[in-house]
Amino acid sequence: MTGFHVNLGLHFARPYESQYAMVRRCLIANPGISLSKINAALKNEENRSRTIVERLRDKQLTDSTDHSIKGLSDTYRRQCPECARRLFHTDAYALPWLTRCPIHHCEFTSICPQCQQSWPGLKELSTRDCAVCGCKPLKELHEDALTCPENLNIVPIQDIYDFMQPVDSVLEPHLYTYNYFDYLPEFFSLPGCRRADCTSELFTACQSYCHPEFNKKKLKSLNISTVALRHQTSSLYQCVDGEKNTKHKALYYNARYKWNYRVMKRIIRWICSRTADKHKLHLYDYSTISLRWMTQEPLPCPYCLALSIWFLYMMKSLYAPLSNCQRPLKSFLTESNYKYFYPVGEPCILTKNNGFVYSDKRFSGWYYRRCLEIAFIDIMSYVDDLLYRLKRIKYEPKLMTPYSGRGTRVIKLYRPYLPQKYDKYALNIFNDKMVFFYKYENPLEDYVPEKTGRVTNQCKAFNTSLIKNYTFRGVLVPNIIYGIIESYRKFDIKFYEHMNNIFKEDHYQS
Amino acid sequence: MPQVKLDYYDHPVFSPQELHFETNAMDHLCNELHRWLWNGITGGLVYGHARDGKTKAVLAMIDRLFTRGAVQVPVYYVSTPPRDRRVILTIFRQLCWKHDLRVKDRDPADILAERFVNFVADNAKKTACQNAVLIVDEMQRLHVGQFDAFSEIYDKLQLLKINLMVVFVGNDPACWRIINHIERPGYAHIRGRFFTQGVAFNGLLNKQDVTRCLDQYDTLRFPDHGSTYTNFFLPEHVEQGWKLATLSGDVWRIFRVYQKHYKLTSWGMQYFTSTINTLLTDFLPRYGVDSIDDEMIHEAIRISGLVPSLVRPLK
Repeated sequence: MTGFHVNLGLHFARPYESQYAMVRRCLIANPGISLSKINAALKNEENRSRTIVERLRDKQLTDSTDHSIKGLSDTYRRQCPECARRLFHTDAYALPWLTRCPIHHCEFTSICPQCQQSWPGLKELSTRDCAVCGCKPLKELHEDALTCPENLNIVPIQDIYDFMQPVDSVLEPHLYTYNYFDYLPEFFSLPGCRRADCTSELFTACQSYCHPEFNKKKLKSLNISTVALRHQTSSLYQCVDGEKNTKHKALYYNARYKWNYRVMKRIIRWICSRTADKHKLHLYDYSTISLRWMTQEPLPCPYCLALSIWFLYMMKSLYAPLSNCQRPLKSFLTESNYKYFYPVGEPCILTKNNGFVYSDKRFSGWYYRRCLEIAFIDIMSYVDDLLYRLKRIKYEPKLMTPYSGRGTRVIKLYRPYLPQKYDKYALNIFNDKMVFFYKYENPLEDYVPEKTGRVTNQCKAFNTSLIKNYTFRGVLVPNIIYGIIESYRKFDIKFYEHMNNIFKEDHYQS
Repeated sequence: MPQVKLDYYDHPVFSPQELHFETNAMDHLCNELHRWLWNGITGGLVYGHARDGKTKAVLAMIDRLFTRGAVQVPVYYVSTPPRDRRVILTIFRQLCWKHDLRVKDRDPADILAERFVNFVADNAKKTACQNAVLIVDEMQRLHVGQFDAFSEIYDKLQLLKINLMVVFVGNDPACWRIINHIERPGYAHIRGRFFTQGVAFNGLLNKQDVTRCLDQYDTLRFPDHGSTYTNFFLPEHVEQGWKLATLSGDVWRIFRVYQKHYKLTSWGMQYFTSTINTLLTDFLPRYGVDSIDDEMIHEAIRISGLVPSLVRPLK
């Protein structure tokens, strides 16, 4: 195919326009030529494998910048009708916290008001016969689209992009990473530091904190919505790679004991609010219990089960023999494909010279306790769903095929949990302090399991079955809510001995 | 850089398309176009006799027009082809073809017009110049209805706040037929927009013009850092200090004979360059500069074709 010159529609170019707007003006400037033909003509000039957007982008004037926003796709689906009439669109319109067009202050729509169809994608643009969303001749375009770019007030868009810029810091550029407090077996490969991106509802509150020039009035004028966020700040300590990590464990070891106690108290209080008075909370070692066994025996209490998994997970690094033997929870957890525990650690910063920057002890402690609480929610959500599926197997005969059949497939197909909503946070460095933004002060107070209701005395049947089949009992959790840490310490020792005995038995058997 | 072996006949003297001389007429044309441009004039006519060098002159204007603020103005050139069907579509097709825009058989006129207009708009953005000049050569071939095509382009560019000036180039006297037609009442919109200004383009008018051209033979070089044109063909004489410009008086004197006899307004550039090229490449190398006489110049003028082109009714 012979090539031809492709007009770019430069006259309609505006600052901060999206790639969609760039393609649209190119189509307007080349009437009667489809996008595929334009792509073929551009490809004729340079035989490289690239998209049409990339080729068009290269041909733009040198002072044009790519203002696409990472994490957003198909941004054309949400547009301002007035901007669309003027051939303008920017990726910022897809940001969920931008409630209205900052230029015209009209609502974003997913449908063109003129032709009542969804905003066209790139492939439909050339065939859409609409003055607002399509590609029409010059005389049918809005007069503002034809006039100079300066006539469209882009200043609010510029403000929004300025608002999204990271705050300058002596530590920039850097990476947010995660310092895990415990060694985790390879089985538990965890995702990295999850930080709220610009599409998150937390982002705006985080940015407005770090951009004092964007006060409430200005945010309102730009139609930027914010959510009420809490924040914690922390001083930063820079260390050579690995040095603080070692000190961290030593320094915080005793402190962690107290922190664990505080969190466990809170968890037990929460469990007690959802169980009958006669319910006896037990901790079990579920590491030897298989999924098959669970389908055939009475179902465990979801709260005991969740607490047990959480306790073992939280405490395992404190039980030296257990951590040394790297005893994975290989039974029903792995069988049900539950791989990801919520990581317990603290956010830290990897600087460009491979140094680590840590938070102070106060923040570390606060964050550690928070992680434990969210880890329990994560585990409780898993248990909530697991037992629901197990119940289905038990009470729906058609699913009760032999073990090797469909029965447990209902559970095995279950995917790992994604981070919970409580996990969303935003991190920033501001005035050489780390600022951590979050929504829920006490995640557990807001959490309600979807399927598990109030439990009365489910433990008894399960406990009986466990005693019958296994040689150990669970450890009764004392009522430590109103007690002191000493009672917790005694209980911890008791559980330690209990687990130690199990380890010895395993060791002898192997 | 590898040396390109040049053939003797690669010299621009042997290629009329590559031979280019600056003349006083071109300077005058440039000044006039700038006057039109700087005073917001939307169109005008450049007329002159055949072979006077109008096309070469306007082509030379492509990169010579500037705004008052010294911003180069994009210039677009199109030549009207002879067609049996002279319609508006032809104009747009020609404009798009000339500028490498896509043209398919089924493309209607308005689509082609939009493509060209957007092409001009793109260039306006690239050059940061809100002015554009469109040169339409051989305008005597146009049908009067085809001028609306240029009106349409003008109007569309006005929507984009781009000022277009259309310069029509036509042969005298062939262009007057259509100019007279445009002066009818029904074409006031065309006349008022494109034909309020005119400039006559002439060939060489006097001895000074001839001297300026011959001086360029003595200064222009081929290749770029090689010999001058004169030196290329007459190296021995140039080394002795001889210059082609010394012939300007004799050449002009001989031409004046023809001018008076045949009532010529000027010496067309094609005939002039053909005359001088004949002298430079053939007669002088063969017979030497010392043998130049009137007979030689007469013969060179005869060979240039100046005389056969005068086979037409005299006024």
